[in-house]
Amino acid sequence: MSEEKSEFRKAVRSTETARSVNQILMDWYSKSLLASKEGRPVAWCMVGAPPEILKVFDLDSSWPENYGTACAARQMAVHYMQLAEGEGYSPDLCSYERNAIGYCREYLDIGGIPPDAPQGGMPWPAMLITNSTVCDPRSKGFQAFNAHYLHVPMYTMDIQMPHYGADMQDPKLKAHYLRYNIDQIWGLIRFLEEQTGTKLNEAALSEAVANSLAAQRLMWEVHELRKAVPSPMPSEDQFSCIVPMLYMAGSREAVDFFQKLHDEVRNRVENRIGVIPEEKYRILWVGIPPWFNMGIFNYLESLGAVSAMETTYYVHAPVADVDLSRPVEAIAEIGWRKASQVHTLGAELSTEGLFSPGLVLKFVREYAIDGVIFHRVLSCRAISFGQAHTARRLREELPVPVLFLESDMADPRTWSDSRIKGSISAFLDIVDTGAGKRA
Amino acid sequence: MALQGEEKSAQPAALCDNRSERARELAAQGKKIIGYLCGFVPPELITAAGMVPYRITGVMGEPLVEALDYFEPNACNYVLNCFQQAIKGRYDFLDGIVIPHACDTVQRLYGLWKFWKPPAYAHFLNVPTTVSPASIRFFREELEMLKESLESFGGVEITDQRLKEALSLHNENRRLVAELYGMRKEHPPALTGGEMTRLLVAGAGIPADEFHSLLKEMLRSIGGNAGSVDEKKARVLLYGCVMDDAGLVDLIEAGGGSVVLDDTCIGTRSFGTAGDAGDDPMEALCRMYFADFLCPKVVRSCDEERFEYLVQMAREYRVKGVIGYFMAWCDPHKFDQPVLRNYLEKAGLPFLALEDDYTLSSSGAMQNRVQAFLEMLQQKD
Repeated sequence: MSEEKSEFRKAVRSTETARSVNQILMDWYSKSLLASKEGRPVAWCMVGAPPEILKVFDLDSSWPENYGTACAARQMAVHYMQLAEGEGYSPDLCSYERNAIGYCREYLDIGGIPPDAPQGGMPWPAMLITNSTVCDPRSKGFQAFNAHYLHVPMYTMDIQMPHYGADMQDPKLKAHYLRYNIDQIWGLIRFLEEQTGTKLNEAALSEAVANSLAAQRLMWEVHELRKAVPSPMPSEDQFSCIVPMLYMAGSREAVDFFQKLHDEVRNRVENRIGVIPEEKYRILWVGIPPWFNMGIFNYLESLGAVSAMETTYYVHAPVADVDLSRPVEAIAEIGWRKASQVHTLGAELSTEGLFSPGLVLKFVREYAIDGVIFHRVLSCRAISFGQAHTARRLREELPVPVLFLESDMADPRTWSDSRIKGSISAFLDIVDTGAGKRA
Repeated sequence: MALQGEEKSAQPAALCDNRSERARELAAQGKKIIGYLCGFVPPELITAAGMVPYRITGVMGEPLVEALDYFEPNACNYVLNCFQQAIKGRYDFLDGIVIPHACDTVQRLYGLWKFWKPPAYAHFLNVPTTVSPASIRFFREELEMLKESLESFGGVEITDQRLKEALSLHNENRRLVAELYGMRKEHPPALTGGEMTRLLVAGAGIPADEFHSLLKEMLRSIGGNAGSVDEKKARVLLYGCVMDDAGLVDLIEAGGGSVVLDDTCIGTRSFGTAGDAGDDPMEALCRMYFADFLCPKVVRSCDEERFEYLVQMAREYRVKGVIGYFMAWCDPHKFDQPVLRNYLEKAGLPFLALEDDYTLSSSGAMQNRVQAFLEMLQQKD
């Protein structure tokens, strides 16, 4: 079985702060399990549901997307995905969603949380909160497992943004989108008021949004520090930060976490502490990582290559000067400004996430990148689709070598170790001799 | 005298096989041709602007080569195939494109088409993910923006009167299509599934008034004649996404089935609801092309009863089983598949799911599965 493949390794992280995420993750899962045991409702949410709002309602949550990464890292995802596939869910559907579907199936089969469930498992939800940003599986996957197994109240927050070529300065266009998006956020609030029996505390929401912006600013400053040579913090460390970044947004704990990370990375830059003793090549990672084999980043390092930057998860420039006295409008405005950044960089692929070819070009220049690795994730079209276009644009504008690795974010059955490592080795030979080599 | 057999379907079949020919002729005469994709785009607006709506299709079975220089292979091969036609210059006769947010892949198609093959006119129609008063209002505003952009490109004003006339013409076509569908409720049906598919595909590539004539001619040619389909053939409903080629329908009908009904994008999903223009034609378009348009991209509810309309349709047409056509990598349809299967089987409707990459390349294996399914249906009697 794939789970038994010895080539899969967890990443050894460089920074102490990133290493502390393991405990944060454990505490975070324990919190929702405790809430469930004490009879309090737990929501299953999809990334894009504002954690700031959940926090204000004091609602505990589990995130099937994150649970997919946890199950992949602990080599349990194949087990759940096979259960989903046995139910008729195609192997080409999102592996996070298949993982959650299989988890639901097993939960029902044994009448409770599976004993070997990673992180203690996800408690059965009282409600589902999903959204439509970035991809179809967010809404369709939740609809499927709710229709098939859960049968609980669900809210889909539909956030829309203009597409390629739109004039983001057009006030009429902005009003059209913000009116709708604000309605959708209020829809979530009304849903939560109904489900929890409590009213929104706007002042608390303002504070949560302020915390969120503060954490994002610190993360951005960390990214700025990462331009240093040698690289002070690799991609595997940044990827491990998704729990405080995506799911704990709005909390004081998340701000403290990123302050600590910022201080540690700054110290490493000041003291020229690199990820590896001799950094030969700097890599840009495009796409989601293979969570079941994060050790691949250490493998790169063993060959002298550091993944110095990545395009996935919160690489937007921070948004400032937002009127937080009306926090719902502020959340919509922040989303608009982020979409505007994407339009500035080139929104031919998407306006909702930073998959912009312009961003890849920018990072190659700003981070002194020697080679770009595109991770083509088979079950995630939203992230992968357009990488060929981006690589084509890259070839036309910059002489930087490009490598495509094909596997998945949570499905290790897609991984071919010898082929992938062989490709990396050949790629680094090209990086070493190619035109993109740093002076 | 009514035409029989091959005669009655010769014209639609020829138009279907050379479906861009008429549009090219009209383009040469100075008409503006606007390509569109998926069922969220109202061709009425294009007709009202004095232009010709042309439904973009692929070439089923054509290997993907050129498209893969720009797109990943793990995306809907139908969309990639459409893009490949554009890259090869086969859509150079189009003056513009209107592409909706129908799914992740179609959404990206817009950007890449506009980037690599920029047409004189390109418009993106955004589509909400849920149905609510706010999303209906949002979609209406999207339609208003589409209308304005067409006016600007065409140098015409789309008055309410022009829009009502266009709606009336398209509605009349919908009524005639419904009449033809109705003739398939009888056994044997008056026309085959293959004939119906070719007719609809042909109609989506010519001006609405010419489609009207084609439909009238088809109805006239059928007259009161009963169908010639073998009475022993099992009546099936074909469910799926886009069906712009009759290859699969022919395969089912050659294997002992009779496709008397469909729930596909170019079939009943696009012709199911006629809109009453009333005083507010934009409201009618909003209803037809969004609120009542049953594309799985839009999350309506989590109740499995959302598929009840299919059961009702199947009963009305005395269907014995459902064949589902699922495109590889199609998230909206494939997430629905297990729940759909459960619901249909509970309603006593056997379900066969076929997966394909828009090539029918595994048609041998597919044919075996279809035949076994049809034999099982025939034994149900």
